[in-house]
Amino acid sequence: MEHSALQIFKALSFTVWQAFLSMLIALCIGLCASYYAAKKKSLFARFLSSLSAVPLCVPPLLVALGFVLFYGMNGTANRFLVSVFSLKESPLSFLYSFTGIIIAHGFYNFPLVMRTCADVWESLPEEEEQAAALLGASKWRVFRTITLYQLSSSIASSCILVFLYCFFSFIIVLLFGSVGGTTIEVEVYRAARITMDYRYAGILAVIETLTALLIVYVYSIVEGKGKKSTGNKLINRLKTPITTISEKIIAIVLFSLIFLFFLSPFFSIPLKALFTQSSFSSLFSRKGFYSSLYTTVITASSSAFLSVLIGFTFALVCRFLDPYKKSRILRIIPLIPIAVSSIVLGFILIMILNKLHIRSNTAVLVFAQTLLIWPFAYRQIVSHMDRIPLCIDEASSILSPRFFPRITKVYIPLCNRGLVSAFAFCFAISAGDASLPLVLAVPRSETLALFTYRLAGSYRFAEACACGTILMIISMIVFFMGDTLNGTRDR
Amino acid sequence: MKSLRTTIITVLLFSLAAVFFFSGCSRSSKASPERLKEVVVYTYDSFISEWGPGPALIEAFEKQSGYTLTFVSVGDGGQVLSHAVLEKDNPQADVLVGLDNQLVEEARKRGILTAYKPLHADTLIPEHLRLADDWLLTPYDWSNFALIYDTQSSVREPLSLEDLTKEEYAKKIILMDPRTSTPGLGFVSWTVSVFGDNYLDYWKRLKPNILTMAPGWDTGYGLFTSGEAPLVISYTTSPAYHVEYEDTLRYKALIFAEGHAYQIEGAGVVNNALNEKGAKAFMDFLISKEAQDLIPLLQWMYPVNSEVILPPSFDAAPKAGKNLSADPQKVLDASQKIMNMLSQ
Repeated sequence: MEHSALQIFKALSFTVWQAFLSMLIALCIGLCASYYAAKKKSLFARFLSSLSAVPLCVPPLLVALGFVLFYGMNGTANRFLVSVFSLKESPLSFLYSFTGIIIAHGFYNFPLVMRTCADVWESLPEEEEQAAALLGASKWRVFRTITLYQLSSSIASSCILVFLYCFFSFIIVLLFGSVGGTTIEVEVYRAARITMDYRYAGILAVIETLTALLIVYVYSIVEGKGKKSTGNKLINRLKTPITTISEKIIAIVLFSLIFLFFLSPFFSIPLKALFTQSSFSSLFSRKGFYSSLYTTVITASSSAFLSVLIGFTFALVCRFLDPYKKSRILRIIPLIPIAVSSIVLGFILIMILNKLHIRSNTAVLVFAQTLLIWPFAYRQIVSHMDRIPLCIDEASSILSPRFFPRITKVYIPLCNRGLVSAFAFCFAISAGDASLPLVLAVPRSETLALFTYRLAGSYRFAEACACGTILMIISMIVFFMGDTLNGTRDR
Repeated sequence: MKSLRTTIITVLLFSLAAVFFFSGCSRSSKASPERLKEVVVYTYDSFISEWGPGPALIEAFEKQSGYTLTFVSVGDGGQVLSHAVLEKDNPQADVLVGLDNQLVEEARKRGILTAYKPLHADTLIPEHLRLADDWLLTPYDWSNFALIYDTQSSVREPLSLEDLTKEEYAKKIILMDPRTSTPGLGFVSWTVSVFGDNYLDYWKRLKPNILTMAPGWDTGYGLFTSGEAPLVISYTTSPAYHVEYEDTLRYKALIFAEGHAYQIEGAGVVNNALNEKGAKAFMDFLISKEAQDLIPLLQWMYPVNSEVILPPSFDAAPKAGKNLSADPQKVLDASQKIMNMLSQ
């Protein structure tokens, strides 16, 4: 079969473009939402924060169905408009287009930006902003010249993750994109799984990975120009109520957008399950559901724990070896696993296991998931660790020359919010992952995410929505427990 | 600083060692006594799910043969083949289940299967359902591809593939991407069989009427049952599910006079399988009446064993008048050309 460089270039440029625009949407919405989550005392902010888990743990299949259930040709929005305005045709048709892709991707991923930026914004020192205000700077100027600069590291960190998520996205792009459209990941999949042209698959995988690594390199430059390790980690800002007119207007607009393009599609999933007769009762009557639930909790907890351990260790290593963040290599290493396609990684794992004559089991799955998700833990932890002033390191090394007491008495307490947040994120990602369990083909083992896919693949869509709802609830509980442990109640 | 670095490196090495030590990874041993009592079957997701035939087959086969049966899901049919190819030099499976008529020659070319004719295959399996003369693959179920029509929609029921190109069906058809889905490839095969070398012209006329080309059957059919479009590519046997579990005749499989492409799913013994004897026992079992009785209500496909009586819900599954097929390589090439054309 012939392959042309032009086709590869078209697929690659489309992949990069849709990922970039999706990232911009996630950034705009996420940054605005993080302002309210970090600085304002409101129920809206706490609610948004607890939803951070949802996009990570819900399989993309259900995300796509959620958008279809709400914005599809026969979705809730169109049916409402047709009946209210007595229309002949459904007026909203943006979903099956490029706009549909970037809206679904952007709103699916904005909680990642919101959570990462809000966590850091909450503990930014106020002295610099107050000094600027005293000198006559307007609020916008203070935000543009001080706050954004202080947040640049966490903005870059969350945006690169969103970009890479969208870069490797499969289901949403094919479902909502124009007929015949393709991404580089689809082409890798086709070459590796359908035509088994491994040479071509290898070439595509290299091109894909190099492109992703190039983006990662650009990110490292942006992050390097941002704020270095500084600021006072020991103080959390006081949150104030929403008082000014502009804050209220922006909050209303923001909430409307989030309601329309995030909450409505996502809640369409549990509503579909609730309004379809016996979907939950059928699900709960299946033996496989309970074993999947057990496997999910065990593997997700184990993967999350190991990821936090590795992420924290690597963050410490980077802090000791490169406190002034001069080493680009150290910043890039955690992003390499995310810059590799899961299809490619799956193939590499199968070949390694085969060479080592190892049969897949749950421990292998946990190990493989940890390999992929420890960078997420690292990103969460390092954004908190960066807020610890270097003088704290110096003081602690004077007071205690021994290494481990400093970790347990200084770094862990000061990073505890990052550690808990990292655990919750990694738990959600692991719980929602169906690709690795499938690729590794662990016998007699099933996770909830895989169970959901299997339900959807057997006509049982309402039950699949019910199972996805359970996944969402579990992850939200973990995030909520994490927030409670962190003591993020408004003061 | 030196002792700090040493400490950090020691901790990291210790952690890695602990992970490997406690990982409990089992090494697959060649022809160990335990392994010879086990038959490992690679298959696709829906086969081994709780509502698929897997669990019932395990119970019946283990009782009958004394072997332990282990199903391992590796994705879809194409992934079963690709997984087996990757393990070719050190196969972990004894049997592959889920390779269809499109993949027979690819499986032969890759040399991953050993031909085996199960007991009584000549009498149990009709000739038109056999996948290979040398029994490299043994069929276990089949169905025709068909457009499924929502009878509650306002559009007229199409009568042929050509009918689908009419303006009244604009954005009313859900297909699957042939690059990632078997029914998607099945539809391509169907159009190649009917239109011959003019298949590309047909797809140009069809393009405006396609709402989406879903990456898999699950997303595509999910969109269809959510009411996104009144037509979706699936199997003639799909309506039987809705009759059995939803007690509705709403979804109708359309029969076109020009004939229908079909899919026959097969199973084969892996070349150099660790337990070849057990594999053959499983193959004999798979086409027996006891196993084939499970196919209709758990696979939602037709069994190959002519002795099986179909359940009443299968009255809703119409029979195609003519079975069509095209050369698998030509279909693969056609799918690439079609997707290139559609993307312009």
